Amino acid sequence: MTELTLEQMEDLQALVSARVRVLSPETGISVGSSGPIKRDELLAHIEAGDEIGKNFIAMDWQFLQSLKTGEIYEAIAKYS
Amino acid sequence: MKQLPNIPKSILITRPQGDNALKYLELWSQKIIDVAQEKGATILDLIGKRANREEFEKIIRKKNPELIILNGHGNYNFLTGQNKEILVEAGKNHEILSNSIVYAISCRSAKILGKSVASTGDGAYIGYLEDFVFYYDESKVYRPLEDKKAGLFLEPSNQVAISLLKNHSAAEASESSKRYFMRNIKKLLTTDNSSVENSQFISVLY
Repeated sequence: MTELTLEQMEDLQALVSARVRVLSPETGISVGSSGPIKRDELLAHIEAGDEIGKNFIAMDWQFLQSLKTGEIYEAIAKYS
Repeated sequence: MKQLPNIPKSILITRPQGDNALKYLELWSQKIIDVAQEKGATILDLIGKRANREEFEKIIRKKNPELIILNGHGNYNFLTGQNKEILVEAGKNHEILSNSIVYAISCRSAKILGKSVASTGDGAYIGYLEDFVFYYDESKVYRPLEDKKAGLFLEPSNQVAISLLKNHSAAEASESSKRYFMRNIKKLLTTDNSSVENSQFISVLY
């Protein structure tokens, strides 16, 4: 993930949290090696900025970048 | 390119139990087992307590399975079985996998363990470089195979093993799975009854 300023990181954290909140609270998430968690636990990890939170933010950031650059649409076209 | 024989002699699958993620992997793997049985392969099923290091090493040495499917939690340099016991670890016993085609349904193991395995034999290792993330519906944990949310992730993942069992090479199986993931993304982008959750699903699928 590109180096972000503190302000950019806070914005990204807020954006990813908002995106995760659209999931049903009954969504289970298998992430990392520590076992599955629920939506609200994932939100807590994101807000705490711990390893699970940071990894999830990095993954969502990569997706958001792919929308911006169009990479995701190229990938869809490539595999269609 | 490494690929399975038309009728594989035996396939080994680990299915540790202990949390909901493992339960989903265990039950969704049954689809792989069904295809392997149709092909006439002997299934060496290390389920639950049998997914321990001693039995894992013993059965590989004795049966030399052509395909090994590893379900479980993991990290860059190792993969675990029941009670998170390390079954295989780079630099310790990774060479045990070196002559088989391996598919690891686990976080991160392709990065170090996969490279170690690939560099020591004539087999192949397919796995994930970073976290293998999937969503599931907590209300479906007693009927995981009916969980459409989880199916978006686990069907394309299963495609690796199913494609290998249909005599495709490791590289072709990996591409086939990526195509399946992309097909699901496209489906979510174009479906009429689009839910706000879809954007999050796509992010994880991508």
